Amino acid sequence: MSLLVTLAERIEQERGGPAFPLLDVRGLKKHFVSSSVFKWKQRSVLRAVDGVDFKLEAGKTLGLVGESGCGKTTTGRMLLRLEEPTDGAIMIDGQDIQQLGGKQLKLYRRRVQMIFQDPYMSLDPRLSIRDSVSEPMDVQGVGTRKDRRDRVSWLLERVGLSAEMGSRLPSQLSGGQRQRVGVARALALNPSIIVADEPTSALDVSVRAQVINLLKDIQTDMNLSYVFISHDLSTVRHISDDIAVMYLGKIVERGKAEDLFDHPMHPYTQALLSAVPVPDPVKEAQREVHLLEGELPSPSNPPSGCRFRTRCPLAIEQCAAEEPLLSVRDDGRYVACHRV
Amino acid sequence: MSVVSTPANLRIPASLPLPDFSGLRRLMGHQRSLIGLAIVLPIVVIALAGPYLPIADPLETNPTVSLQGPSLDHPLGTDKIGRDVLSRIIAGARTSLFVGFSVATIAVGAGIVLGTLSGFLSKWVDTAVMSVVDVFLAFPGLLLAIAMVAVFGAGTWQVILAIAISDIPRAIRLQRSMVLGLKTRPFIDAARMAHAPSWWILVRHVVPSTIAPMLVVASIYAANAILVEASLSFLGLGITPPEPSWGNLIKDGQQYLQTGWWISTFPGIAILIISIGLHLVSDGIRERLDPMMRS
Amino acid sequence: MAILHRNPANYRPASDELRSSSSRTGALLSVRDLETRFFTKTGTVAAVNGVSFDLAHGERMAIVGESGSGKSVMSMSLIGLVSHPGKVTNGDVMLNGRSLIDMTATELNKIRGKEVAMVFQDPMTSLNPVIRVEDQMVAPMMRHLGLTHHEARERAVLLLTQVGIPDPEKRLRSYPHELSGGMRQRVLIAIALSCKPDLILADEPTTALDVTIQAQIVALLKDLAEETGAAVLFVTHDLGLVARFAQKVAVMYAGKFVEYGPIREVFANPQHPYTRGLLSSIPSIDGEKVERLVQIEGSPPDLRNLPPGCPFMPRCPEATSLCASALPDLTERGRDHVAACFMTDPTNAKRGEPVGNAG
Repeated sequence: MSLLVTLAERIEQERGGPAFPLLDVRGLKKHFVSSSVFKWKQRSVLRAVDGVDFKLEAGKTLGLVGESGCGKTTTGRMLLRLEEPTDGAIMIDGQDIQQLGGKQLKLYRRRVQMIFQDPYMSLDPRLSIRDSVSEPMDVQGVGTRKDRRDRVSWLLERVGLSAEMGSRLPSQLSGGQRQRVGVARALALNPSIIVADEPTSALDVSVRAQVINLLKDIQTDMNLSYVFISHDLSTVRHISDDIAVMYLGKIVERGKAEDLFDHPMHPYTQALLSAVPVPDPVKEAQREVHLLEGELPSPSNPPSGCRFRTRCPLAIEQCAAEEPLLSVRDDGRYVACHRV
Repeated sequence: MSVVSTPANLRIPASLPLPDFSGLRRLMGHQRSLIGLAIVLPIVVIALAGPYLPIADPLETNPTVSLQGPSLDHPLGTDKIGRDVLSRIIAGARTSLFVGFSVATIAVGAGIVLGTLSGFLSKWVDTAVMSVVDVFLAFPGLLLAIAMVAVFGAGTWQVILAIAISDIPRAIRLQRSMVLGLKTRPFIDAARMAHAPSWWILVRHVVPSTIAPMLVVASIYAANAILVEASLSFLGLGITPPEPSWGNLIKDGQQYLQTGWWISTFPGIAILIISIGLHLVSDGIRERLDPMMRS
Repeated sequence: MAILHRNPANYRPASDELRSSSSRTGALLSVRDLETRFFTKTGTVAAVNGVSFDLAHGERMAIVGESGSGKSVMSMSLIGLVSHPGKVTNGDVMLNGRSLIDMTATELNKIRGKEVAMVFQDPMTSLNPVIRVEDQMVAPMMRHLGLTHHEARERAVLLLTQVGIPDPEKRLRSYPHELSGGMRQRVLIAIALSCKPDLILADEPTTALDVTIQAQIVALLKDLAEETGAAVLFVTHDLGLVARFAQKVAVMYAGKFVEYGPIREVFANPQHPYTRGLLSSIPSIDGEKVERLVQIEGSPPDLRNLPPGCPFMPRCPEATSLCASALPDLTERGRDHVAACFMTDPTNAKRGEPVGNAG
């Protein structure tokens, strides 16, 4: 429909044309300080994200993987400015988004959107599907009411639902359907970047493939870039072009997805890949599983030097004294390790 | 014997799905608010229609019919100076119900506004509001009401405020806790990421979800207020004669419990009935809410 | 491996026959035609709708399913943990030749914790948060094994070391919330093993844990089961874990087993379209990378509104009109490998009109 195209174009015009790289994150940090009314009480600092760098190019997917406490979700939230970074820069098309205020911030928000993990809590149970999907456009005052209504119908069909589902309530939809609604809502403002925070973890196994295929389809159609946050390595491998592995607030390895999965260099990456069971009994019986010792250290009190050293089979004295920095190796792989 | 239909050992006592009981339970659940309304609404209507009803004038004294028991002329009897008890109860209903609903409205209104602000805005606002709230919660309701009346004197509005002052902190607390819970839900984040301002989030997402639980609490506040007002008036600290309220009606009949038991008893029964009615309404709303909130 | 009777869905033995057959085959656990129903306001739901299987001593079996499959309800039904509005309405469960269905609550209490141990999903709700770890470990041992407090405590220290908890003396004095998720799960496993059970029921024991911790716990469970000779019934939705841990697997859908057999058979040669769909829709961590995952259409079924015929029919790419009208039984497909599907059964001559379900 010409109205929809016009609307999409108008949104695109307002936000400016594409540049290269699309997203550039440098030295990103987020420290949570436990506040206390009593000034003499010691404040503990939780370094959730402690110096993270990565780039994302148009039309590509960056997989951000790690276990609990690694900071991947917080990083994603900072990209949407749902959390304010303590330090570092987030550059979109060469512009630092932290400098944005007021109207610029409003326009910026059209470029980056998020898909949430929990399909049950990410939709207001009292609003109809149509209202939920339309909300970003309502807030931003884009187009006329009719324009928005038509676009909602188009979006619902695009994600594999029928337009008449717009009048239903979330409780009448299945988990997979609700997640599709979440995708439709994220697409409403025609963004360039979508941060997907564990989009399939809360779904039934038989439904996950539907959502993943959907995300891949619309990526090529709409030239979207994804920051795909997940702990599910098999899914991340399937959808990502590049991968960054996080541990306790830092990136320990970063590189092209295929290379990284074939030849993981950092001991944590190796352990992580080794820990994921493969649905093939023959392969499983033949595999050498490297089990990590010990537990995850507390994020508010990480080990000195290399944070992974307490569980690392290769740790030496240097690892406790000096923190390894992310350095480039062959083929554009970045690894933060003294021993590798 | 191995293929059994209902293994005895696995049966939980008293929880067999007998059709009768479940039917009754279903009836009670869905109809609770209807039964409650069936009690409350007629009373309200009758109270409002009072002056136009073909009954005796509540203020008309008639010493010739003093202390007469229930009869055709005076269905609920007369008091010492010959006033018709029934019409006095109806007149008193107006006052008591007005107090009840006013308290509920003020408490819930203040609760929604202050509770939302406290839960949603900065920690400082929250600490400030909750400190005041905690102070008021420390006082037992009735004593606080008595103290307020002692300071500001008796009278309808004084009574309303005196009772409301105990309920407002509770309502604020409740609203605040609901808001705190809603604040972290992802759909709020979704609205934020679209650049929704705080007022939008409050009006569109937060407050509407809290209205229904507040309604539940409102009916309880109303029932409670009617009871407290009766207590205050009974003690002479609430609504003063000649304006009738259920409380001072009971007080009037206090000395005549043996000779004219109907003077105190019927107003007491009236209070009982309206309390039950309001609590049933509250239960009914809560029953309807439950499946919604669970999903 | 225990030999499964042909067409167990139709098998209704008398108790004596069953007892002698299970002792003949040496099965630790024999389940026949188990049915568990939930009586709710909105209708009666058969969460478990006719399940039969055998589990031999020391055998590791996995039950795979999603929401609505009935896998968790089934494991709870085995030991009488289904409560209102649910009830076991049919079938028999034989443990070591004794019928669990016939037992009184007191007798079941003696079995639970002693012959059958449970490891559930969320250690935070399985462990009492206001009681120290020590007391939670010591109590069952004193009760089931008749140990004194001192003896039980010493054994608890030993068990905690066995499950890989460092500094066990100190850990005993901790409260559950002071331990990490992985450690709490280890404590649960230690408690489960403390009374030397014959059977361990593990219901999604690693779902809430991080990947690396999950790998540790699964390896631990496997080692300990082998050491102690305990059989394990492992309920999960993760096919990878099944491949790593189990010896045989049952795939459950809408309250029934749709496929059942040794894992190498089932994974290499899946006979039920649901199993095939699951296996091809999961992206893998190694091996060939596919362009597009094969997706299963639709969603897991609402048990209150099951269509007549095969419950998987609305989502099945092979479905025909036959599938809509008749319910397939489990038929043999290979060595000890059974599946319930008309379309993939080579011995089934009947076909129907294809129903156009997208593949």
